Amino acid sequence: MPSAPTMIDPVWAWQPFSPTANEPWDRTLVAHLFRRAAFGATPSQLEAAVAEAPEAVVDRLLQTAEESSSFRDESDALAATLLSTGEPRQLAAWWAYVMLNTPHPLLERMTLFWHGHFAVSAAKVTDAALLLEQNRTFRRAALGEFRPLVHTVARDPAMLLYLDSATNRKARPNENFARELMELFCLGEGHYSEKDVQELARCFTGWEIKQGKFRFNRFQHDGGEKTLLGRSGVFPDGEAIDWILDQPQAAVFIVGKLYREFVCDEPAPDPQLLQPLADEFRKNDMQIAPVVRRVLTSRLFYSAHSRARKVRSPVDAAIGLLRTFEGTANTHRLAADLQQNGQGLFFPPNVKGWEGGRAWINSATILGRANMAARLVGDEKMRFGGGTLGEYFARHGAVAPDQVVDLAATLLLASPLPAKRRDGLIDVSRNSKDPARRAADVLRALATLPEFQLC
Amino acid sequence: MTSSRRRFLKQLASGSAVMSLGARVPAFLTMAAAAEVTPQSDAILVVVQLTGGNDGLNTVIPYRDDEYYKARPKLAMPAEDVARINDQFGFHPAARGLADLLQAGKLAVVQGVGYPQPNRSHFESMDVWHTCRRKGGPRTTGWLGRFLDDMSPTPGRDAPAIHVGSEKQPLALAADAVRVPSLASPEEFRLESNDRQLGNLIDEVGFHEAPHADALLEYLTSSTTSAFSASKRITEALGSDDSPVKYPETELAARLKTIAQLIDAGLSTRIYYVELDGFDTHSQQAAAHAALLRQYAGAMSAFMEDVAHRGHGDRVLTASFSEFGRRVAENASAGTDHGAAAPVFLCGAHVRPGLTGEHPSLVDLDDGDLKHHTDFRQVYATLLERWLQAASSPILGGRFEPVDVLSA
Amino acid sequence: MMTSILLRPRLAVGCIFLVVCAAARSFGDERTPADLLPQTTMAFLEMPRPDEFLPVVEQHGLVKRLLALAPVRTAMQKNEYVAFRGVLALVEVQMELPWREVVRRGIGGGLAIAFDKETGGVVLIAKTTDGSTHAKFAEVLTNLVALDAQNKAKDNPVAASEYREQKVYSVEQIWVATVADWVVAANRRELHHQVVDRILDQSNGSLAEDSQFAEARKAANPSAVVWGYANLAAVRDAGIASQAFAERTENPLAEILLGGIVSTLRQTPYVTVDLVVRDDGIEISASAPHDRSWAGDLREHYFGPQGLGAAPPHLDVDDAILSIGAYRDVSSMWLRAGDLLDEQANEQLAKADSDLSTLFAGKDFGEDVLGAFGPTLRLALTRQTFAEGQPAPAIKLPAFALVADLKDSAESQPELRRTFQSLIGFFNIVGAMNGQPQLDLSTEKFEGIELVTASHVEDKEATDPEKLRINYNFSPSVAFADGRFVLASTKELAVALATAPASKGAAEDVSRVANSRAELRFDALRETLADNREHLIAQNMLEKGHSRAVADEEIGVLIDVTQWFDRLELQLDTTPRSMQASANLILRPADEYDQK
Repeated sequence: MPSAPTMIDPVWAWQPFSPTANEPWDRTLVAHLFRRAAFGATPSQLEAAVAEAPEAVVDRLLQTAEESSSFRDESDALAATLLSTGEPRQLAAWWAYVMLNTPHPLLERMTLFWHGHFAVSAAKVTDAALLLEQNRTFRRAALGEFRPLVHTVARDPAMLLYLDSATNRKARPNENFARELMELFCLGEGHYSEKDVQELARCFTGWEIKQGKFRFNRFQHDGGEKTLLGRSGVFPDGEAIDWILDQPQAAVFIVGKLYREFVCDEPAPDPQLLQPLADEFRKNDMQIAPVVRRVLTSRLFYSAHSRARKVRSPVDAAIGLLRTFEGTANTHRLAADLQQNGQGLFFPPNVKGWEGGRAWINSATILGRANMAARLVGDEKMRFGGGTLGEYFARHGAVAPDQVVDLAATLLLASPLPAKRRDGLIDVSRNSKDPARRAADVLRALATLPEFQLC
Repeated sequence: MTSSRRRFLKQLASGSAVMSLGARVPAFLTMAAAAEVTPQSDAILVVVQLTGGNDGLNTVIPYRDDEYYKARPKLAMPAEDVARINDQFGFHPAARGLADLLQAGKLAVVQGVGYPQPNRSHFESMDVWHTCRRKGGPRTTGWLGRFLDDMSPTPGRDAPAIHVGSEKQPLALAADAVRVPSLASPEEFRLESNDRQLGNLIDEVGFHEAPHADALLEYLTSSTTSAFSASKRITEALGSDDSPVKYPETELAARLKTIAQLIDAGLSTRIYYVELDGFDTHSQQAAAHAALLRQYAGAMSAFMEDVAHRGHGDRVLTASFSEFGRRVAENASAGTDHGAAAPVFLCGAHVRPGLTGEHPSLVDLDDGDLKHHTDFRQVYATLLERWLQAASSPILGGRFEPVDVLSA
Repeated sequence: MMTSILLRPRLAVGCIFLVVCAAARSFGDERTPADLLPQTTMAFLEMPRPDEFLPVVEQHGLVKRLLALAPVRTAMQKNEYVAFRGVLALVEVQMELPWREVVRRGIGGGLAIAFDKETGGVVLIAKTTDGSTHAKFAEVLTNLVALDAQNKAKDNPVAASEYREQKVYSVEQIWVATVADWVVAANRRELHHQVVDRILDQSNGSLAEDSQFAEARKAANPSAVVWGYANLAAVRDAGIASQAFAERTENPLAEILLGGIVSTLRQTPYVTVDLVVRDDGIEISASAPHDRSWAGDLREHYFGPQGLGAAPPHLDVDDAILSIGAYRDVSSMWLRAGDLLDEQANEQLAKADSDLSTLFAGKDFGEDVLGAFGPTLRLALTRQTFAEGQPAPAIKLPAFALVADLKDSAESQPELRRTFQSLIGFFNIVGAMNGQPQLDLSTEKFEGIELVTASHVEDKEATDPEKLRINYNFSPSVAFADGRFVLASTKELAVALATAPASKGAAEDVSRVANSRAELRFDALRETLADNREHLIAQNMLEKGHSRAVADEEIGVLIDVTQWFDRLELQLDTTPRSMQASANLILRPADEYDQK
């Protein structure tokens, strides 16, 4: 992987971005923020946000405390109804519906982030109720505190079933969960020894899942002294988790993942670059929202180091395309398309979650994404802002072919559209006289461009 | 390769075949040529999984063995009905296609394949075959998946392996880093809206004008160009399907035909995987097993003929296995129950045709089952080392001696 | 603007047809459209008395309900419909008549559409009842179209010519002419000429004089408002839809349902269709000559040994949604499958046979298992009700049951019971591996009835006992009563069917029997939909991307529409010489519906 270390000054990087004449807070930057943090901006959101200060816009995206309870109630009721089918694929369609309609897209994005971080697949854990419960855990903690989240995950039935840790006996400690807790969830490879894995596994003996619920079986718990990461003790009640999270590396590891989520896929950041973020994370008691806020308001985030430096995930491609134009979708079909393109909701490939970046792309997924986009914008039964796609574009002042192309490109593309491609798209839009078909043709073509795969 | 060039090469190939008829090349020369064929870097492996436990004993039949007739009073094939391989063994008459392949020198049967302490659960035994790992340890990757990880395919290009089918993807293909797509039909591997402008849009701004400074965008541009070219080739392969080979109208045949088309479209994919389910014949086996063997053998012989006709005969090898064979003795319901050792079938231009290894004894049994003498990982080692050119030990988790079944 | 719609050729043809129809003058011609068509006509559909029928349609309860429906009202405000109204208004002004009257006079003497094999053309023939002075409007309208085209700098789509001194208008290969009482439109010029010739020449050799057609027409239901005829012999000869006439099918279910019908269609010379409209419903039926010797023994499983196999009466259960009864000897069909199904289906069947025999402890499925049952089958689908406060599944699926007679209950009863018990054991093992709730077997005997039921054990984990998972819809049961075998998805349904009096099929008239019958009851269907309203709304949201409010409204309309109907009856009757398939849709009485 090409990762020529570019030296970025950590102090400069995390200073708040303040617009200047050369770097104005314009539609390009707002669209960048919304693509990364909110599955894209609608034309109206774009106009409104340009008129505000960057911090104000970010703060509003982070504002989930008084989450509109009506949408939450509706989505909970919907999930409860679907649960009675017992079918995880119904949940995937439900989540796609929520992502499409939520008034709090950043919260949903972060929920998806934790789903990829603490990955559990319905291919193995087939109980939809447990998966939904886990999904709710992620949503509750999505922008909250990391420490209690890890404690909850360590007792989460779906997770322990997935890692074969449903039974964990004193005589035969299961190292699976212990290993992943350090390698994938908290510290990263190389920051613990095999001995630490064995000792940590002893701490979790007697942690069981019985009939879909967590239970502590004191008869199977190893209450002896352990030595974990240089400290000796009995580590009762998940104290081991706190000790792991107290390691300086824990903060660096988590902010590193957030960096990759929000700033760029590559190159991998220098540890020094992450240190200010890790300090911020630590200072705020491992609260997630302050770090996300720091990233989304930083100079680095609005610089060339970040813009167009990520490959769109299938979810970003599909939900982004629809949310930008306030589109509806058959989310059963959409969930199946996401799966086909490598990001099945509730079906991550393994415990490591989705690798992301360049790994999203191969010739099958490139074609799959094009076909997915064609279905999303070509389904005449679906509505965009309540009307047809043609009406939607017209309402935002885009009627002529070049206007349609330019509006779509401004909202969707992270990198400039080369002139020849723009001409080509205008050509495509001339195929049809019907405004809805014309707009759909442009979006379909635009979504197949390499530029569209950047975010 | 453009289609016209491909067609030209085909004509050339058939032309040289005509010439060789006239010239009558001395036999030792052709043999030398065959011996020199070494595995190629574009060698393709097609794995056909016979799910449910194929009754190996009624597939490769020891028609001279009285024990066979004793063990199978209802299910035994009369000696006069089998398609003879030699004076001891013959194929089930429904597996006519296998006999044809053998005749053409394109089929090798590795007999008595299995593993120690065989497990008779479908799921467990299939997992063992897929992962080469016994129960207990983590089994997150399969043998083919580890091969894919090791070969570290160029990201962004054609998928290094494709599972053709709509069922759950086999664990054998699970890899750490490489994701294998599952396709129910070749249609999924091409643009649904077949619109030329879109192709032009991608072609027009190809490498030349892409901003080279941006590595990520360049990567996406080249991936998109190569995906569109793959889609175009597949569309062509589907549209101008000039192969005269007629496949039987069965599901397996349709899937193998898809694979032949994908290969012919010039995908750089190395591994294809298909399944045929239904071999769990606990009762009234005769008609069901015959139907399955007819489907399997018919599809295989059509497929091998087709890939040869399309000019890829030299680089395609198929390997067919089942998670286990069936018990020697039939049960009271005119069926057979889960067993152990069974034959593996390899088809291709570079196999040593015929039977390899002894047919397991029908008397010296392991709890009523045939004993294996060849570990399935030896077969895998053969495929990995001598066909795919990969180091087998790290993939299989140990050293396994390859079987001498490929003519290289 | 308004006339631009006339530029759409199809619509233009329609309008011209309408106007010329009204313009044609009556000469007291006694002929019917069949007198004007060639004998090579392959298919013929006629509305003999539109002047009586059209007002019935307009006043029909179903039409009123349809027009009152919210989505229909919305559609009627759309641009296309408004434009259409505009054209109608234009016609009304020009004709000085309401458009309904225009239609009534224009086609009131009869309307027919026919497909001719010889020319491959379709012809539409209408007879007027009124010979007043509207002839000029044909020209007025064509002029209007021409003017509109001129304004838009386009070519006039309407061309005028003459044939035998009759004026012929043509638009895009469609020819329209008014000749005497008649208006003729056809998409083949030769066919158009032929019909016009017959009107003018009164020549012989028309379809009406064809003996087969005449025979078919004699048997037509006099109260039918629409009557159709297809010369199947000609259709088969022409090789049209040869797939539908294939001897062997790939689909076993299609063979069970339609095998006998298809075998008749392969042989019968013609088929006729009647449509009857009553105040309380609509009935459509298709009849064809039929001879049981045509199918030979091959379809004995379908028609019975004498060709008069009769369906048993419907099962008598409460809350039935769907009830099906048929004469079918499934065992002999299974054994004859080699001749009935194609190669691939037979291979699938061989595999299924092996799997099923495994399930049935090694017994041969076709011979031993299916062979235990008599040749009649009954099926019922009923709404499930759950008492308030009692455990209930969140999704309430209908219960279903299959009832068959046992040939020898002393022999097969213990076999079937054992098979059922081991099947439940098998479900429990597989279910346990997948985390499904377990089934508890119990056996009861009372009043000569033996009942074996499997109920799900109580779900102690459930947070809401009235929203249990979908498994709790099922308590699979079998019952044996009076030589009958009942297999039901719930214990309640099994008990209801086992204790119902055994109504023996009263074969009163052996010359005509109902071979198969089905009845769909809308009240129970509606209540089942209403029981699952929440789930239907959820699926509507996910599938259509709707908000809850919109989804709720759509499901509301769906449930509302089911209130219009009382039941739908389907029946297949056979006599030694004919076969008739009918569908009868019966509306709910208006007073009952309107009370809502």
